[in-house]
Amino acid sequence: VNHHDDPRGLLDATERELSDGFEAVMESLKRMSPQEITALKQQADAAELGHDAYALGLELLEQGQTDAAERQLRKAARYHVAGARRILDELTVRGVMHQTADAAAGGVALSASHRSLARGATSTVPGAIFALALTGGISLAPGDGHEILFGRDRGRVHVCVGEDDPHVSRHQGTLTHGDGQWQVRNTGWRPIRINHRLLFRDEEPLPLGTGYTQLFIESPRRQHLLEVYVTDHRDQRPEPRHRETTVRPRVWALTEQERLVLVALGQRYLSHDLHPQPLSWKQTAAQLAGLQPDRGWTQRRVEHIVHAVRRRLSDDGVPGLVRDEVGEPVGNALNHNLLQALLTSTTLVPMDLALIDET
Amino acid sequence: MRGQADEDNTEDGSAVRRWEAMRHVYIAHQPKLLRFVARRVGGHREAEDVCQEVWRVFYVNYDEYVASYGHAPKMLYPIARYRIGDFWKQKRGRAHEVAVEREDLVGLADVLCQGPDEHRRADRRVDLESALADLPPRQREALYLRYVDDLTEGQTATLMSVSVNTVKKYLKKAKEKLRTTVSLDSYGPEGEYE
Repeated sequence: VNHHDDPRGLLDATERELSDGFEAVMESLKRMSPQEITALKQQADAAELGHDAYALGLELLEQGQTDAAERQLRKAARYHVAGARRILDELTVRGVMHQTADAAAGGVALSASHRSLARGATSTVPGAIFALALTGGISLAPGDGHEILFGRDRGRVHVCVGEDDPHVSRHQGTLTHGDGQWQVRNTGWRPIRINHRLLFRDEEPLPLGTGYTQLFIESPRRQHLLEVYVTDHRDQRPEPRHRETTVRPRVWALTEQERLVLVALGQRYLSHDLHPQPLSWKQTAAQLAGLQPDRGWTQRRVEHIVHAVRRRLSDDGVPGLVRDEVGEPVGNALNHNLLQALLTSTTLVPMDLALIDET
Repeated sequence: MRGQADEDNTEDGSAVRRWEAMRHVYIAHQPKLLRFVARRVGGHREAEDVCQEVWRVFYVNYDEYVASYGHAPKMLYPIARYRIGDFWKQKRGRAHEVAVEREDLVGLADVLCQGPDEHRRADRRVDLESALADLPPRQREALYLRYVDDLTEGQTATLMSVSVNTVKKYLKKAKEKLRTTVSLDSYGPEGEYE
C-alpha cells in the first residue's frame, strides 16, 4: 500500500489518533437503534457462517468428498469468502476436463502442421468430424454425446483457438453429436460467424452439414478460424477436376436501360467503397437526368425499373429481394441485396461504371 | 451497603477492564487492518469506511468472540473479508482476490533475498511478480497474507481456515519454489549477482 495514496496519514496514525478512532466507533455504536444493532449482529453471523463453511469445505475436499465440499464452498462464496470462489472455479475446471476426456475418448489429435481441412479429410467412419485451428485439432467419430470443446484455454478444451487473445472465451464453443448430426453451440461471449450467420451465446445450436465449414470467432481486430470438416457417407475427398470446364457464375440478363439504372444506383459498390450503400431514388434519378436530360428520368421511373429487376431475380430464386423475406424495417436492404447478387454473379462489374462516366 | 458498593466497584472495574481490552485490540490491529482492507478496496477513503463497519460488527459481538475463541481478534479478519465482499457487491463488481502492487512486494523480496543493494531489490520485485504467478494458489495466498499483508501466522491460518502448521508448510514450500525459480536464481544471498 503506497503511502502517497494515504493523504490523511491513516497508516501512520499515532496511538492517540487510534484511541480517538476507537472512541468514535464505540460512540457510533451507542447511537445505533436496536434494529441497526440487530443488522450488525446478522453481519457478524454471516461472516462466521462463511468462515465455518469455508473451513468445512476445505476439510471435505481433503477427504475426497467433492460434492459435499462444493456445497460448503458455495455457501462460503455466498458469504463473500473470496478463496471459496477460486476453489470452486478450480473444481469446475477439473470437472470439465474430466468430462472432456470422456467425451473425446477415441478422438485422434491433429498436429498444428496438419494441412487445411479445406482440402478435405478422410476417415473410415462416415459422419466423423475434424476440427482444426492454428494450434492443432482433433478428429472424432460420430456418437451420441460426443463433444469437442474449443476456446482459448488449452487446458480445458480439445481445440485451442485464439490462445493469445483475451477476447476469445476460455471455452468459446462446443461441437456436439446428437440425432445423427454434428452441431455447433456458442458458449462464449463473442459471436461465432458461420457462413453469413452469427451464432450468439446460448442460442440454439446450428447443425453442421457434411463437408467443409469455417467458424470464425469475431474479435475486435482479428478473426480466429476454426476449420471443421464432416465426412459424409460416401466419404470422399473432393476429386481433382483439373481438366473440367469451369462453371461460370450465372449472369442475369439486363436491358441497357436496367443496366444503366443499376450502375448508377450501385456505383459505390462498383467503386469498391468500404461500406457501400445504394444511392437513393432521388440521387439516382438526378444523376441519370444529368446524363440523359431528354429522357425524362424521375424517382418513380427509377424505382419501377429496379423493382422489376428485383422481382425477376426473386422469382428466379435469389434470396432477400422482397419485403416478406427481409422483414421491417426494410431500409436499403432490398437494393443492397440486389446489388450484392448482381456483383457476385458478375452481372455488374466495375467496368460498367463507364456507363455513367460524364467525362 | 458496603457489600453493594464493593459489587458496584467490581462491576465498574470489570467494565473498565473490558473497555480497555477493546481499546487495546483496536490500537493493536487497526493500522494493519486498514492496510489489509485498502489493498482490497482500492483506496484509503473507502478502506476507512469499511474498517469502521468491520469494527462495529466486531464490537457488537465482542463478548461472544471472547467466550467462543478466547482470543477475540480471531474473527476480525474474517469479518473484514465479509465486509470487503459486501463492498464489491454494492459496487456490482467481483471481489478482488488480492491486488498486489509492485511496492507491496518489498517485504517479500527482502524475506527471499537479503542484500543491501536497492537497485537489485527493485529488479527482484519485477522477477518476483512473474515467479509468484507460477505458485499454487494456496501457497501464494499464504505468502501474500503473511508477508504483504503482514499478518501473523495465526491470523493467516484463521483466514485460510487451516492450521498454523499448514501455513508454515505452505510458506516453506512457496519460499523454496521462489528461491529456485530461474528468474531468482541469480539473486543469491551471498551476492553472486553479477
